[in-house]
Amino acid sequence: MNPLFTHFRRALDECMPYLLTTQQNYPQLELAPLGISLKKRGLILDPQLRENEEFLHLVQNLDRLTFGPLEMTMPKWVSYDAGIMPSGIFGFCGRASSLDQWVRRALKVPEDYEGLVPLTQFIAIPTPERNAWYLHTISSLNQVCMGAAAPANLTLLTICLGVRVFRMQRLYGATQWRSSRLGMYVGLGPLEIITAYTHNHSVKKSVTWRLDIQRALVEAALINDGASVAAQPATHMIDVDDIEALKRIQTEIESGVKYHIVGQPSTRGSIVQVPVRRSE
Amino acid sequence: MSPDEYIQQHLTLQGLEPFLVATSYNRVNFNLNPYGLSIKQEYLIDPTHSASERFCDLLLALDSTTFGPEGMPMDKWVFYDICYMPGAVFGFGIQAQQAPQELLDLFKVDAQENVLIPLSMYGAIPMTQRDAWMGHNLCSIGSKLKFRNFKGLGTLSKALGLKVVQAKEFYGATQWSSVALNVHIKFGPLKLYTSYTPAHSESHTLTYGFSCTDHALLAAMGHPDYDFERPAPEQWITPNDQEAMITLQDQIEAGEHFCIPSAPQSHPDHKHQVPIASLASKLFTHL
Ligand SMILES: CC(C)(COP(=O)(O)OP(=O)(O)OC[C@H]1O[C@@H](n2cnc3c(N)ncnc32)[C@H](O)[C@@H]1OP(=O)(O)O)[C@@H](O)C(=O)NCCC(=O)NCCS
Repeated sequence: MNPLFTHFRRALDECMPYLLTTQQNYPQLELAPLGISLKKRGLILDPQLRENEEFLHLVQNLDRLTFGPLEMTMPKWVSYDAGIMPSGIFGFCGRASSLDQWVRRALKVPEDYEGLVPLTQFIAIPTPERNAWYLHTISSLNQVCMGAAAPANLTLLTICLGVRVFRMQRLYGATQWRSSRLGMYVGLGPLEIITAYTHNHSVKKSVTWRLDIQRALVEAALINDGASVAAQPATHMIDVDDIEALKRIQTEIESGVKYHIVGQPSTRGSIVQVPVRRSE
Repeated sequence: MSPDEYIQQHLTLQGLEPFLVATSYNRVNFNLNPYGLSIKQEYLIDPTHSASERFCDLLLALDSTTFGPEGMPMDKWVFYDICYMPGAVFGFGIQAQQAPQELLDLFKVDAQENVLIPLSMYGAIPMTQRDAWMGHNLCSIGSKLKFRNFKGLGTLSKALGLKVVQAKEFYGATQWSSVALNVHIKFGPLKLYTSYTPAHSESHTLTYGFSCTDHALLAAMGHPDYDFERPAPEQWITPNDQEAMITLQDQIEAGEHFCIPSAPQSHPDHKHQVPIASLASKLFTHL
């Protein structure tokens, strides 16, 4: 096995990558991300063929299960119009038989179904900026079925391979400041802050970020824990629940000051802080 | 009449301001003068800036006013994540200070407020395939307003929106029952990619596409010098006829090619019926 994946041996033994993409998008994609051949050891499905209906329903169930509890209702058309049509869905799947009965029920796996079941999904939308994408969804069955459903850290593996499948050189995203996901993204490189207080998001305490993607840093994220080696030292910590501070930074960003998230969020008691670097 | 003259003199657009919601880094890839119609600096709206919030909230109101009864209004975060950040939203509006009472009441806007009230919007995102775009939101309040005739506003917004983002190929997905098919069909016969779509949680969805030539856009907007040859319908599908959708889907999967050649027609028992024609032996350079 490629030493890059030493820490992910279990995930690669027990699960298989899948890619749902249309005939139009297929030719543009990388089918051997970081050397893992999706053709040889993965599942590549055309979501517009009827024979793939069952797997597609399970992907929709995963979506509902992971988004439902957040009460962020996703209109029905979104995963088709903003996922399958413009790009595709990448993730890992496992045998239905590997799931506990209660997990099967939660995911609404049909009684007699013994095929493959999606465990994670990664969706990003292309943008007009060449090779720049916007992160739409990254979710894992582990989020809701704590540790019972899929090997640990499958989300990180999904995102590291996903950015390669779609040949991304830059990734944008919006994440709630309190989300532990920020820690995972900053593992891939420093995150430039585009909005610190996001007026047009339902959760204004969200950060919009931009990540420049380099293969070496993605590979390093699979090996090292913590912030990316490319991150510079922090100049200060942001208390993510200090709305006035977030608004102040937002005003500064709008007038041209640059901020980067350069480290893992730290939580002490009820205070969550994120290390950032300010530069004029 | 030149295309630019036709658009600039279009009666429906008189007194309306075009707007574009897009980030500064996406905007540099766009055409901000579609057919000579220039978008004023103040209506180039950057969704990452705090000053955009009021207008973006009015877009949300437009969305729920138009979609409300059909039950597909969007949350604020969906707008942000799907419309503004990866793509663009283009449309037309009227400044509050110039708006009639009917419009101010509908949007609960004060006549003194310095804000644009949106009447239509078209949202699209790029696809992995270069220069191809996927449309995902179209709404127009034109037909609901009494103070003036806004005929064609939905179609103009889509056509000019596609010109702004410089789309070369276009894809869309819509329900068989949607009235918006009346807008889409103006861009010419629509090539069918799926007729039954389990990947969409509403499986009675069709996926269609067309090439965004100037010919297609100008014909859609009613320019008298541009038109299409439309094949004769060979069959009709009603919005609940799942069996017919699946049969057609099986034929598409087997490699046959179909299009929706022309607008839906009325049907005594259904919302409408949609015509289908085979593309097998016909030459349609447009598709
Ligand atoms: C669909 C919608 C965008 C049309 O906007 P509009 O400004 O009325 O569109 P246009 O004036 O360009 O009309 C284009 C054609 O559609 C027809 N049309 C519009 N609304 C119609 C309706 N409710 N029933 C039947 N035909 C309709 C028009 O008559 C016109 O055809 P014609 O030129 O042959 O007469 C608008 O009604 C709307 O926002 N609806 C709710 C949202 C929606 O369904 N969006 C589409 C899904 S993405």
